[in-house]
Amino acid sequence: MSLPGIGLRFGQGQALPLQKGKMSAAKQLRDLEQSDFDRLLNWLDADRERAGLLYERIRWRLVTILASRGCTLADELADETIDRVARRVADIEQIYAGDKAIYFLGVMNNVHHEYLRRPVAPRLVDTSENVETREQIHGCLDNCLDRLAPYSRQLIERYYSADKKAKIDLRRVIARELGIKPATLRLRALRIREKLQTCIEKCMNASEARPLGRVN
Amino acid sequence: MTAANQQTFSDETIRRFLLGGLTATEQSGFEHSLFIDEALEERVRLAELELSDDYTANRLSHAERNLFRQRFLLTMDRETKLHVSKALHDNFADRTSIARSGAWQNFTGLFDIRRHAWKYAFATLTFILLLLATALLVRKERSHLVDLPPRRVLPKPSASANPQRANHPPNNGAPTHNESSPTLPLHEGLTTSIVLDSATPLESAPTISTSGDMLTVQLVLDEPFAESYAVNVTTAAGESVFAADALTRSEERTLGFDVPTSSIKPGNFQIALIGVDGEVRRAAGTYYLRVR
Repeated sequence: MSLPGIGLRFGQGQALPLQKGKMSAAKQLRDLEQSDFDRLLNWLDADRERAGLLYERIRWRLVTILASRGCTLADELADETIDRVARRVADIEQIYAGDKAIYFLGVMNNVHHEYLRRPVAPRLVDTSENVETREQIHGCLDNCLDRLAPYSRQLIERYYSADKKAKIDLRRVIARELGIKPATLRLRALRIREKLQTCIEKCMNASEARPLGRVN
Repeated sequence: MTAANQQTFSDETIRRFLLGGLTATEQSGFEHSLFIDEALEERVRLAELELSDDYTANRLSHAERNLFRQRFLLTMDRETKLHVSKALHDNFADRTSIARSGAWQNFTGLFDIRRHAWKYAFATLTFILLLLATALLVRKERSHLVDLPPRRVLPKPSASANPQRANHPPNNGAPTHNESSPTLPLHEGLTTSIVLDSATPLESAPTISTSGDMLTVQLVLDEPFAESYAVNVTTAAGESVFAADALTRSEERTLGFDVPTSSIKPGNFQIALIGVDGEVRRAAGTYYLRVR
């Protein structure tokens, strides 16, 4: 199974330690067993591949919502939520009816309430990047741009080639040339941008052998 | 989840959600929709990327930038997105600016006098201008030469073998000249000829030098002509030095006669012409000459 986030958390039948420094008080729980995680995936979907994709999407939603609530430990609380659901799947899988993803939302609310009751040091955001990381990202960007179809590459290059008002004007020109609405052009460009993002993250993981999106 | 249960959220709402700006009610509804609406999920994913790009490209307001750092940049995944946004911005925006600056440099470089091409061009231009100026100068000089009137050489007065009429023609209506006639050169030879006109006053009378034996005088006659003429040559004091009668016109309008130079001394002379028609005698004109 090729799920970066999952694969990094769970090895060959043994739980991996959570990353030091990213561990919150809520994570002072026992590590999740591989069997619990397998049961979780199986509960989400019988097809392992689809289950992995669903898992990733649910995790992303949890992180996004927690961040929107201003939670400075969104990644950690999302993982804690998943851990709790995984441990309870054995109890609920026979009786739970309804959207399984919604179940995660309920558990996340509880985890978040617990988080709000304890003092948490504000997370310092470091938007800087060291030279090595910067060079690595640029190298991966070049590789991923080379993998794009010519049309997509040309589109993304033009879409990002101007700033501010010039960019707005340029995007209108591009949309007119392609015979599409600016909104459609925006969606196309952002989907290519998303592919680039995924490609670059994979490239970074492969070159560094360390996670980017998920660090636990 | 049916379509009827799905809420429609604007792009602005999605952005406010990402920046933590929704009210509690909005937040709850949005969170629920995000878990059940795949289309909304995709829009939020793309909006995350766009927000990161806008932050990198400095297209957010000051307040939005603060919210971006405080409420959006809370996950490792988003930090990675921001790094990729920066890489994209550096890559393409730099290319644009480099291309723009490169184009400008190329444009300004075209006019760099230090370029060899310009040096050669200026040298060639200077050479051509010099050639043109030279050609123009030569042409102008030539045109001046062409325009110059030929140098006139004043004819040297000389005595002719035939009598010549001096001064003004007899039938002129022109005003009388007051300037003095130029001094005639001395006539070398045996005979001196002179043509006199009655209209020429003493001041303008020709001056002659008697170097020969005889002075041949040709008088231009005024109409009406007479059958014959008589002449009386006197000095300024009225002394008669020569007289002749029964002279007839040798030509149609002139009367010629010879005066011995021995009888003429330097000074002013007057010739009184008398026309004779039968018994009738009348004054037919007065002529003057000067002898030196």
